[in-house]
Parts: sequence; C-alpha cells; structure tokens
Amino acid sequence: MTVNARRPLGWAALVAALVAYPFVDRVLGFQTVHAVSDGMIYVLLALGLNIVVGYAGLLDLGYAAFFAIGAYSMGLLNSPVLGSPLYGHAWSFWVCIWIAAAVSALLGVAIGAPTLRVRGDYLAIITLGFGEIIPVAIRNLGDVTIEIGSWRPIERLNLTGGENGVNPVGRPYLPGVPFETDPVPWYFLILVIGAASLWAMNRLRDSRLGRAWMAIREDETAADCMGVNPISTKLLAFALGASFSGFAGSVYAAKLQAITPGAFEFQVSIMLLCMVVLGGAGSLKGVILGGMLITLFDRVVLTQTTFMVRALGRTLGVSALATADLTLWRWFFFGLGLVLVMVLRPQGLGGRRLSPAPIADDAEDPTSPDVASAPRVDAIPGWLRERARGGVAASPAILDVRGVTKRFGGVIALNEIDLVVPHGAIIGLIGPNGAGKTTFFNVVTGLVRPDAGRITFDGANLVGLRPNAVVARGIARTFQSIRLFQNMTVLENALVGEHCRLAATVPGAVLRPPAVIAEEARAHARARELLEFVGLGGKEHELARNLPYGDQRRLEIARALATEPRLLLLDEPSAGMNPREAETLTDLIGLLRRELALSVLLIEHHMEVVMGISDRITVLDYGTRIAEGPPAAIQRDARVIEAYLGTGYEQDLASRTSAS
Amino acid sequence: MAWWEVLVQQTINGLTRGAVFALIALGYTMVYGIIELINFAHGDVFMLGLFVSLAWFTLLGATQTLTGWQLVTVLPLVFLLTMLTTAVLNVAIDRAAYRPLRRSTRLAPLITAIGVSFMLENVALLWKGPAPIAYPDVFPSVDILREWFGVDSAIFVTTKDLLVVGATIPLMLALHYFVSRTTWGKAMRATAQDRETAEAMGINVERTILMTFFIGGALAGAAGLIQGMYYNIGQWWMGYQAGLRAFTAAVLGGIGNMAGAALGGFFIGFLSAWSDQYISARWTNAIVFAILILVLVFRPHGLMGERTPEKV
Amino acid sequence: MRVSRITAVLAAFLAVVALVTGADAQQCPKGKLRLYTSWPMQGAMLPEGTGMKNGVDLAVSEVGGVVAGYCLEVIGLDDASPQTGKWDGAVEAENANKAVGDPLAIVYIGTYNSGAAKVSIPITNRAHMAQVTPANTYPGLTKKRGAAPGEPEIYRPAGIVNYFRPMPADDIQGAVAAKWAKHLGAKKVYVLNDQELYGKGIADVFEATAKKIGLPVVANEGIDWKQPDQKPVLTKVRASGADLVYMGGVIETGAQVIIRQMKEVGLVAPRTRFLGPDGLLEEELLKGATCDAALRTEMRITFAGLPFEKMRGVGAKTYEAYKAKFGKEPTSYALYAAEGGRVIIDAIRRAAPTLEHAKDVTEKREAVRKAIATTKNFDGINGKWSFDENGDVDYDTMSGFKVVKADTPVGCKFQFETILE
Repeated sequence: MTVNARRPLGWAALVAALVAYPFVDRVLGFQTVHAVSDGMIYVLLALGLNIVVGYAGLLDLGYAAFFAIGAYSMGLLNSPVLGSPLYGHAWSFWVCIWIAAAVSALLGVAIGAPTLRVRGDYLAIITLGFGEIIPVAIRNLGDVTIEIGSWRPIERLNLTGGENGVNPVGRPYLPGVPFETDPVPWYFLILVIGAASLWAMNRLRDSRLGRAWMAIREDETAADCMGVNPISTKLLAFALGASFSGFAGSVYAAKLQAITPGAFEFQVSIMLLCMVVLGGAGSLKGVILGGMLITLFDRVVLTQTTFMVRALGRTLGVSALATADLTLWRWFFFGLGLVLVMVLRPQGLGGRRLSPAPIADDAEDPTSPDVASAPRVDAIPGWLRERARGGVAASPAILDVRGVTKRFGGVIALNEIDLVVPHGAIIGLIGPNGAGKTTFFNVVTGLVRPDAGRITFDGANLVGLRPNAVVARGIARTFQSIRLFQNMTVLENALVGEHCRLAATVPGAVLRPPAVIAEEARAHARARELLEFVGLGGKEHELARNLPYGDQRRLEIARALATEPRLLLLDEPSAGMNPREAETLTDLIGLLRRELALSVLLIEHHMEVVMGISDRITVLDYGTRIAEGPPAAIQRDARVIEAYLGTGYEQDLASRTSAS
Repeated sequence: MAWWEVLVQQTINGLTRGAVFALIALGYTMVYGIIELINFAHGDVFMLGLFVSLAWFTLLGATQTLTGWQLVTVLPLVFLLTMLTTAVLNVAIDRAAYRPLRRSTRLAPLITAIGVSFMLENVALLWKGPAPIAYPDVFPSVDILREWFGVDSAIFVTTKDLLVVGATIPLMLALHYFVSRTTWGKAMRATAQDRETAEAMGINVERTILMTFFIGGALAGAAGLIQGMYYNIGQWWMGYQAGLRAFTAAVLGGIGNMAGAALGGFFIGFLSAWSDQYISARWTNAIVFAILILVLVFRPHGLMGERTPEKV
Repeated sequence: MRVSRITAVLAAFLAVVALVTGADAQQCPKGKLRLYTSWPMQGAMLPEGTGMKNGVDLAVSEVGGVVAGYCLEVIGLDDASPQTGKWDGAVEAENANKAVGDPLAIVYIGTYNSGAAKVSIPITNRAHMAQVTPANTYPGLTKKRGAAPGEPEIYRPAGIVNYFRPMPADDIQGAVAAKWAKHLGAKKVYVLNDQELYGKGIADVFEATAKKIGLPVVANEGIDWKQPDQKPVLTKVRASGADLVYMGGVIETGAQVIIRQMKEVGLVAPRTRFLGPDGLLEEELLKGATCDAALRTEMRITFAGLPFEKMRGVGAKTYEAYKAKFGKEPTSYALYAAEGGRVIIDAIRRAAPTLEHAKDVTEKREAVRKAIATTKNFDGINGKWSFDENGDVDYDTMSGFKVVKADTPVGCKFQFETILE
C-alpha cells in the first residue's frame, strides 16, 4: 500500500523538521522557539490528561492540580528558598524530575481514591474540587500560624512560598549544554521528554492495561464482569496520567525559574480539557494537534489575522477594518472555534470517525452469509480444550447455591433460593418477567451482595467477592441486553476477556520484555481463534457497535469464553434471534458442554431452546423457586403453568410458550 | 456584636448567598437532568442576566431607587423582560451549539458549552468593559428591625434581604409546581428518565428540551437581576465563578434533582458564610470543596440524589 | 500520511511567521535601537496597559524618535496569557527572552505586576540588559527590607544591578499608610488583602508598621476576591469593632466590592473608614464602587509620588503633554512610564560614545545599563532624584488622596489631601 510505503519517509521528514526547526528559526530570526517549547509543555500535560479522559473515560476537571504538584515538587525540592538540601548539585534536576513524577502519581492515587465509590459526573466534581483546593492550599501554606489561645506553636511558617511563589529553581545540568536563556536546549529537552512520554503512552494504550482503561470507559459494569478490576484500573489511570504532568510541571518550573500559585487555576484545567477533546479524546496525534492549535492560536493566529484584516482594510479603504483589533475578540473567536470544530467533528480533529450504528436489525438479513453457520467441532481452539482438561473437580457440584435471599427495599427479589449446577451440566433457569432470574445471576457474579445464603463455586465461597474476582475463579457471563465495549474493535473486546489470564504490569507494558511480548502474541492468537470459532473471523478490526445484532450476541459469548470459564452464565442468549439462529446457538451450547466440559446456567425465554438442551430446569416466580426438575416434568408442573399463564389454563406449556 | 448576633447575621448572609446559588443551580440541574450536559455556559447566561436587566432598567428610565408604585410595576416588568431575554438566549444557545450534538459523545457538547461560555464572556467584556460595574440601588434598602419595628439591634435585616428570599422562594415553588403538576412538567420528567421511551410515548422530546432551556435561562436571568439588585456589582467574568459554585451546589444536592439543587445552593451559602466568619476567608474555597468531596464519598449520589440500581 | 500533513502545517506556520518579521528598517545614521515593553494588554488591564504604553511613546516622541543618531523603536509586548487572561510567568519569560535574543534590543521596560518581574529580571540580568519598570513596587525586587529570604540577590545571577524603578517601593508606602491611619485617628484596624504579591506584601508592611507604632490590628485577612459577595467578611469586620479597613489590592481584585458592600453592612463613617494603597488609584474603581459608597466610607488612598495636579516643572509639563497628545487623563502609572522612557533616553545619550565602539550587543547593553545606574539629579516628575545602589530612587515623597464629590461624569474624584513623608 502506498500509505505504508511512504510512512518511514514521513517519519524521517518529521524528525528532520523537528530537529531543524530551532536552527531555521534562529537563522530567520523568528524567535518562536520559546513559544513552541511552552506549547509543548502544555501538549505534554494534555497527553497526560488524555490517559484519564480519553482512555479511561473519567472526566477530570481539575487536572491543573497535578500540574501544580509537579511544578511545586520540582520548585520546593530544587530551590534555595526553603533550604532544600537537594539544591545546587549537578544532578538535582534529573533526580527531582523523577521525584516530582512520583509525587504527582501519589497525589493521583489520593485524588482517585474517592472514585472507589463515586461515578460519572460526581467524579468530575471531585476532581474539580481538588483542582480548587490545591492552589488555595499552596497559597495559604506560605504563611501558617497556629494559634491556640495565646500559645502559638507555629508562627508564620512558610511551607510553599505562598503568594511569592518559588524563585529561583535549579536548572538541569548537562556538560556543555547551557540551560539558560537560549531556548534551544530547552526545546530539545522538552522534545526528548515528550517523545519518551509519547512512546510510553503508545505502548500503554496497546497493552493489557490500555484495553482495561478503554473497557472501563465503555462500560464499567461489563468490564468488571469480564475480570477487569475497576478500582485498580482507575487508580492507575489517575496515577499514570498525573505522573506525566509531574514531568511537565518540573520542566515548566525549571524553564521558568519561578512559579506562582496563580498559574494553576481552573482555567488551565479547562484549557487542557479543550485540547484533549478538540484534538480527539483517546487519539495521541489528535491531542498533540489540539494542544498545539490552542497554544498557538493566541500567539500567532490572532495577531496574524489582525494584521491581514488591517491590510485588507487599507487596500479596500475601509477604515473600520484598517483599525480593527481582533485581539479584543480573542475569547469570542476561540469559543467560536471550539463550537465549530465540535459541531463539525464531534469526535475531535484526530478522533476515530464513528460510523452511525446500524439502524435495521441485520440479523434478519438472510443474505448475510455467515449467519447461522453451524459451529464446527474442529474449530474449537486447542488451548481452550487444554484448559478444560486441566480442571480437577474439588466437589461434586461446580456451583452450589443454598438459601440465597435478596431484598430491594421491601421487595423480596430472591427468597431462599437453592440451586445446584453439577459439573458439566446445563441448567435452565426460567420464570416470568420480574421473577428474579437476572438478580440471581447478579448475586452469583458478585454484582449484588445477597442478604443471606451461601454460594460455593467448586467448593470455595463466592459471597463477598467483587465481580472481577468471581471471573478470575472461572465464572463468565453474558448480558440480557448486549453490553459490548461499543467503541472498541471485535478483537479488543475478546482481548479484554483474557484480561484476568494475563499478567503484564505497568513497567512490563511500557518496556515490553520478551515475556510480555510472548504473552501478548499468545493472547492475540487465542482471541483470533475464538472469534473464528464463533464465526466472527475476518471482522476483528470492526468496531463492536457496527456489528449486526446476531454477531454482537456471538461476540459476547466469545468474550465470555476468553475468560477461560468453567461455568458459563448465559442471560437470554437467543433473545431477538430468528429460529434458525436460535438453533445454531443451541448447537453451540451443546458443543461447548460436550467438548470442553463447560457447565452452563441458562436463562431463556425461548422454550424450544431451554427445553431442548437443559439437563434440569429451575423455575422462579416472584423470587421464589416454584419448581425444579427435568424438562419433561417442568412442562407438566401445574404451578409452572399457572405462573406463566395464570389460573384456568391446562394446556401444554411448551406449545404455548414457544411462540412467546 | 454579641456572638449570637454574629451567628444570626452570618446565617442571613449565607441564606441570601445560597438563594442566588440555588436559583442558578436549578437551571444547571434541569439541563443536566434532561440531556446530561454540564452546561458551562449557564453561569454566563446568569452574568448576562445581570447586564441585561440593567439595560432594561436604563431603557425604562428607572436607574434611581424605585419607590411606591414603581415597585409593583417597573420591577415585575423588568423581571419579566430579563427572564424572557435570557430564556430566548439560552434556547438559541441550545439550538446552535448543543442540538447538533445530541447523539454525539458526552464530551463534545461539554466543549461547545465551554466555547459558548468564552463567547458570552467576550461579548460582555466588550459591552461593559473590563472593570466591575456598579449596579444602581434600584431596590430600596431599609433596615427592617430598626425602622419598622423600632428594635435597636446590631443585626441588619434589610428589605433587600427580603427581596432575595421573597423572589427566590416563589420562583422555586412555581418551578416545583410546573414540573410536578403540568403536562409540560411531566413531559420533562419523562424525557429526563428515558428519552427514547418518552419519544415512543408521543412526547415531543425536542420541544421538551427547548422548554427546559427556556425555563433554565429564565431562572438564570432572574438570578442575575437579583444578584445585581442585592450585591450591586457586576463583572464580565462573574458567571464563570458563580457557575462553578452553582454546579457544585447541583452536584452536592444530587444532580438532576431540583430540590437537591436548591438544598445544595443553601448548603454552600451557609457553609461559605460561616467559614468566612469562623475560620478564614482565604480557606473558604478549600473548605467548601473539601466538604463537598466528603459528602460525595459518603453519599455518592449527592444529598438528595437517589441511588438508581443499574439495570444489568 | 498524517505525519506529512503535520509537517505541511508546520511549514505553513513558519511561512506565516516569516511574513511578519520581515519588517522594513528605517534609515538612521547610527542604526536602530529597540525598547521592549511588557505588561498585560488585555482584560481589565487594557486601560492601564495602554496608558503606560502611551507614556513610553510620549517620551520617545519628545526626542523625535531619534537619540544621538540612533532611531528608537518601541516594541509593545503583552505578558498576559490566553489561558488565564492575567499575567503569566511563561509569557513574561518568553517576552524577556525575545528581547534578550534581539540584537537590536537595548532596554526592557516592564513589568506591571511584581510577580512577572521576578521572572524577567534574571533573564535580562544575564544579558546585562537594563530593565526599567513603570509600576513594580514590591520591595524584594531591589532591597532586603520587606523582602523574602534571598531577595534581591536571586534576581541578579550576573551579580550586577540591572533593574531600576523610578518610584518609591511598597515598604515605604505601607509604612506611610499606617502612620497616616494613626494620624487620622484610627483606633483599631482591620487589614484585608487580595492574596496576591502586591496586595499581601503591602498589607503585611502596613500591619507590621501599625503594630510598631501602637495601632492595634485585628487581623490581616486574605479574601477570595473572585467572590462578588463579601458581606460575610465585612460582617466579621463589623463584629470586630474596627474603625478602619485597610485593603491591600488592585482594582482587578475586588476592592470595589469591599467598598460597595461596606456601605451595605453599615460600615460607614464615622464608625468605619476605608484606606488603600495606590493600586486602587484609578477612576475605574469609583465607577464600580460608586461614589456614594466611597464618600460614605471616607475612602482614602496613598500614592507613591506626587499627584499629577500638584506636580511642578517637568511633572506638570508631562501631565499637560500627555493630555494634549492622547486626549485623556493619564492612568496611574502612565507618567512613570514616560519618566522611565526619559531616563533611558538620557542614558543612551550619555552612553553614545561607548555605544559606537562597542564590540557586541552585550557591551552596548552594558554601557546603557551603567549609564542608567549612574543617573544622578534627574529632573523628574516628582522633582530631582538619583538612583541608589539598588536601583531605587532616593526620594520617598508620598501623597494622600481622599474621595470627594466632583462635577465629573462619575460624580466624584480622588482629591489630593496631604503630602506624606
């Protein structure tokens, strides 16, 4: 492809341009290197924010707080003002920049900690709160007096420099490189830090952690149920996002030689957010573009436009134009630019273009070739077979639920339910709408904590475990209403399923030692095999949201299988499917049990499916188990018929409900 | 002043401050409830409300302290005109900047809201200049305890305090009635809960959203007018700051919840006034936000927000 | 593909920049020298920023733009950032570096905000370029009194004094204000400040001096000036029984609100009065605070130097010339900008012989810097003065203003009341 052929050339040209730029600037006397260097610091900040907002989808309205912490860490550690012992050594800057990053990361965790309980825009306001508190604290801690009656244990203590700020800040030292007023060494320092950060971010994005971030962004609950720990994943997003601002803040402080608390207020957070979203949240190139556009807008674009408008006015003899000063309208034009760009390109300048979601239900489309193609035994991924063989039964039943009760307010959703899934069995769970079937699934998978009762999986207690821990034990589920990670590719969806079976850490994701490379390669291979198996081969790089309905259902099953489960909970897998597809699904479930010894717990309204493949069926009504037994017995059970149809109907249940 | 007089006075200060926050927060929370947008431009509509009301007073030739019959004619008229102006402005903002993004990501309209906010501020800056402007004493200030009751107290309760409470509470009650009793209000609540289902039930969702912006804008205009008459000062960037506080109030109360927004506004009003008195004004901002964070950690859906169990 | 597009954008950007910088050069016998100015030129600071720029232009136009054969060119820079709309350290550093990097630049005139000066002085100092401020009054920039630890040496990395201010600093103004407050009969003072460098600094000096001369200070409290409601703080003031409010701040940081609402909570004369520093000496303040409130709080202001209308000789002439040229009253620091410009022009004239034989630009700048430092008996707007070894003026004339009714559009004005020493 031509694009690929030109790529290395393009990169070489870019590097050459970036290296040559300051010298060209000097020769031509533009004096733009300082502005560009400062702009690059803001771009680096925006890239850090992008991890939080773009990848993990956590709206952060107080990111300037991390910038402040980074700058002040460097300022306070590497300045004579408050008598830091680190000041004045050749290595000071190079040590302090890492300390600053670490301090910022720690603060990121501290700010992220309330997120353990808070979601969405409530989280946004917490970040905003920290963004407001930090500058106030920095300002006020410059002059601390504690007074208890007439006793003053602390009087006018200066911790932060107060409104005076910190001045001077130690410069970096490199033999032969003057980090003084000449902007060129600074430019290259920031360029190197920025390039290294980009490299690290790029690798993080394509790692186990990066996929987990995006899964959390798309659907936190579904991610949790696929084995992603939302708490640690979010904290890592805050910590890593903040650490990059630690670098940016450090360089800012050292380059400026002076920091004041006024430089880190709410407006800075908002500007950074604009850079991220304008450029395209989640896209590194987009964020760079957005950041550069916004930082250069005022210093270059507006003055140039004024210049041109005036020239135009003089030529045309229009005095209003000749004396116009567009800089008076800078906020207006800036705001207008934001509105126009977002309205015309809601995904941002560099964001992935989102094709509209399919309107028609493509599952009904008979021309779709691979719909309902029967699953083949030989297509079962070999590794999955191996896993299945590896399991040794520790107890007679894989899942044993005893006396589980759950109340929502005054409503008893589950009333002392008993349910046993023997090894390798397919158990059906049926009941009218609102009977508590899905609640039962939620209790088993850890989304909802039971008020009473015991749940053991392979002999071990499950009550109290978070969903991701339950997945790690070997239980996977699908959802009644499809909950795929919509804006991730088919392949990425399957890879998220493998999350809890992978081991790469943050340093591993960035440095990619051979073990991690091998692990990733294996994970990709397995995901492809799985997709091939469920009939999604060749669609790996499509976005999940663009798949037809039936494919989405199958992707959910593939994603669940990727977690290497021993028990599969399927919540109405055939909902919305035509009879032919439902039949294929029945075959698939049977195949999984037969070949992989997978146990299955199945909620199903499609009576032909559930009666056809279940070994035993449990019937719930109003949270109570009203019947349990083999399908044939259930079909004749008077209470079941009554529950489904009301009193007075004596007809055969199966013939009725198959149409529902 | 005795300690209890200080406490009472600061509580009155908190009450009036909170009333204005609450009015702005209502508009925030209504818009949030219906299209889940943090409308950053809302604070600036409030700011323009102050300037617009001043323009209406000037146009009607009423820049001196109003007396007698003017209080019952000019004042309600200016209320009406100001609320109408900002309501129309708010609807126009929605049409131009938010409506094209209805089906887009959550972040895109957030950024256009910030963009609109910048534009409105720039317009106000060029209109009124950079420095704070004086808002004339249109509303008479009478020391009630002394002049009406003949009580010689260190506590000041003026007719202006009454104005703030007397204009804010009825507006809130009217809004409550509108939202809970009228067809329009029911349509709004239905749309807020589930837009698609509301649409399927025959509710004209776009018209409902339009109505929400209209009412939200009107409330912001009223708040601007009250702020002007009460604090007598206005500046082009004041909307940013007020919007921040009001947004905080809305979240504190439980975003999307009207009673919660009002409660949140008063809560922040009292808290900041007491903090100014008993701790230090320089720490007030930090204290307000620290308490906000604590509240959210223990009540993740705000003071009055209901925990809606997620449907799986 | 995307990469090459970025390269194209970069190239286009460079081309646009080239367009502007290729300005033509006038023919001057000895070449051209550039004076860079740097202070906020947007938002609330636009009037004062324009006033100061006018002041410099006035000084340059007085000599016809030419001194000792050198053409003078004034390059006006804005040190406010688009991100925040206020002065920004990064922008100020960029401005200073721009000046230092320009081989024609000879002197840097700025800044307005003392915080910004902290950033730019070390940069100009390294380049041996003189920096003359028309407005910075934070003491620590030049001297130890009223300074933070390490000041002012930290601003002088090259070990030379390159920073000069042709007006007295705040350590003098704050102290004078405290003495005046006592003289006016204040018994108990409540000090407020805007938590910025200037406001907090001058409030601290006021507090220290007041305590020294036996004037009780209830508190020195920082306010959140972005809050349009200061009634709680003022209620606190009222509860304390203070009979004077001293507010350290500038017109952008909430003094209007304080004065306006002092009236609202009953803090009016004779119960309580208002006193402030010269950062509040702007007509804009009276517009926002309203004359009614300013008059009822008996608002008074201290000012470094003489009032325009009390100036004699050069001062009076400058005042008239400014009004004639720009058609309006000078802003508070406009005439100091003119004074600074004249000091620079005088120094260039005296340094002209050295300039001709200077090997490089640093030597030229050093010559001018030395000439400025040795300014003696300069006939300035406040009378004759000289620079001391710190770059400060050797006079400490202060004047006191009081707000009085006037037949102006605003309805009142600052009227000179007394000379304070």
